[in-house]
Amino acid sequence: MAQLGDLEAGYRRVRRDRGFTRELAVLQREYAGRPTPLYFAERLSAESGARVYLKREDLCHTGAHKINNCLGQALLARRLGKRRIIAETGAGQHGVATATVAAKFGLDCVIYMGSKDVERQAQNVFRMKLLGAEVREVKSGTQTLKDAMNEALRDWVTNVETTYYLIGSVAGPHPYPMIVRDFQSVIGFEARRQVKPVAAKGPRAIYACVGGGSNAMGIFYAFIPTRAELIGVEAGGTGSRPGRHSASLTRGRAGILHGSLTKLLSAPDGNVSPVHSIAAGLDYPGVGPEHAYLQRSGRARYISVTDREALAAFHRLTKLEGIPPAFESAHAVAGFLKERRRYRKSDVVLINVSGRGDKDIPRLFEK
Amino acid sequence: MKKNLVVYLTAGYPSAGMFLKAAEVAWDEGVDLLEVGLPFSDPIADGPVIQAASQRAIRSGVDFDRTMSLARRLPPHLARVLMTYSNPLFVRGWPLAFSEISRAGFSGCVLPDVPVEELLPLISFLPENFYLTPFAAPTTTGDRLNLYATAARGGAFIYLVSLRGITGAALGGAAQSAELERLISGLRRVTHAPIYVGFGVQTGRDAARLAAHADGVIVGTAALRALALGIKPFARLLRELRTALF
Ligand SMILES: Cc1ncc(COP(=O)(O)O)c(C=O)c1O
Repeated sequence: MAQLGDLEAGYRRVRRDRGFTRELAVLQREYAGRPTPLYFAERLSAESGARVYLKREDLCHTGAHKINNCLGQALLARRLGKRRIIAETGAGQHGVATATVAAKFGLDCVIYMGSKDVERQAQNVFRMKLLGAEVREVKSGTQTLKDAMNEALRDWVTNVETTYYLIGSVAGPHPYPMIVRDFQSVIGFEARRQVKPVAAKGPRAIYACVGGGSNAMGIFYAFIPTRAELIGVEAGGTGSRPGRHSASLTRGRAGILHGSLTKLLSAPDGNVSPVHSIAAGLDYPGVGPEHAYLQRSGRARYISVTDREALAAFHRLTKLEGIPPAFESAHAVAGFLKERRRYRKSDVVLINVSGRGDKDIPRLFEK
Repeated sequence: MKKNLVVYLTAGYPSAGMFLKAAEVAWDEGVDLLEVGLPFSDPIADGPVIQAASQRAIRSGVDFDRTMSLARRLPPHLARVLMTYSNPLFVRGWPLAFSEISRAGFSGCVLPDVPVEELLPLISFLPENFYLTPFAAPTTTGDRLNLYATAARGGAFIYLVSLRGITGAALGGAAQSAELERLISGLRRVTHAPIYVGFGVQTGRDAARLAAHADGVIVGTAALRALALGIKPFARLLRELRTALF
């Protein structure tokens, strides 16, 4: 608790610090490749009957939006005098982004990853090791993302004086959901500027996939005061029974995990349910608490799509636009396609393409 | 002065029968307080031994109701607290959960994932003669000590975590003792609540050293390890601990 207090105080200090903001802006531009384009998807628009723009987070360094948060938090860690960084990862995207910034800043790096994910995402494990990180396999519990997070928290309380815990989504105890949201909000602030010339009144709707919820929070945040409809798309997996999906907002109930009160997939006895998604990055039984708030207040709406719908959307976007999205991001595309009849030809719709599909292509190749 | 011995057992581990037998032995060996773990799927404060015990108990069907019915079969005069994480109680609703736990004979509840700040709002849900135990740690800062005084009511003890880490970790040396002593005297200035030190106590010697300035010690991982070997090794450990604490 004292550490979380220190973290919050340190964070509030750097947010007021012009030097910090400038340093981060330079890194975002020159290292991560920001601003990412807002791309008019012409053929997808023609097919779906709305004017669809893709926010191209897939073009970020390391291939996903995760780097936005990692750069911000690594700078923060350095300001706080921490030389060692730990993180949890599911798909390995956040692990790779963390290992990347650790290499860049010359920090020690340990990544916790569930055994099942180590097996499913062997290529990302290799990438993390190339970048100089130590990957620790987590064999407890369901051996996936939530267990990796448990283990990272255990490490953090053990090595709290030397170690910075770099959480990868808008989950975990306060102030993490706030910090990660702020560092990801660059996505939405850019998009708001970029969409202005083509939609003076702003977009009609914005779609983003929701695992922990960081890319969705990132693109939603700047649009909360606007009239844009905000739609988060969860992983409906292979069915509605527990263990077959990871749709915390649409099928979960209030619960407490990893220091947040939020929507959670848990059994009647309070134990956390196993989860499934074709997209390893959506495989988390909880969700950022701010999404639970946006849902309750009605400001955002949440839906789910199945593995199969996401896979079909992956192929659609690849064939129509030459952009293979990450399986996670394919959920956002699928969510829009499912609801395309709601929109008129003149409506502007944004889809956040949170990452690129290269990491997932080997899985298609195997089948 | 006699120091209190608190022993942690996971409900229904290694089996319902062994758990109940272990509790009998604890009563016979003069254990002052039994801490019964209601197993949770994601025990973030626990090391590998308690994690494994929790998983095994969950797989064998130990849940809230089963833990309450096991508790009713414990030695009647053995004082007991329930240790668990917030979600199993939250989903039942705090007031209902606390009153059921109280009716099963527990005098309080230990929730390692609830910091003292978050414990305070729960106090209004407590039945009579029932307490919540706040956790303090070497990283606890002086400006928060008053919160402990407010939270540790109704006969509550303060759970002082001996180290930076999780249950079952290795204890430090003299520097650790000095750090704990400072923290204990800070707590004593604001509250009369008893202070029990836990995490990492393996032997009688550890127990004696950590209890020097506190009111007792809590032994969990070592107890489960001994119990996994059998009732006899478990009884031997308790005797060693009891002797070390006078
Ligand atoms: C490309 C991509 N999108 C989305 C996610 C899900 O995370 P979040 O919901 O925090 O954006 C991940 C996580 O690994 C990811 O790699």
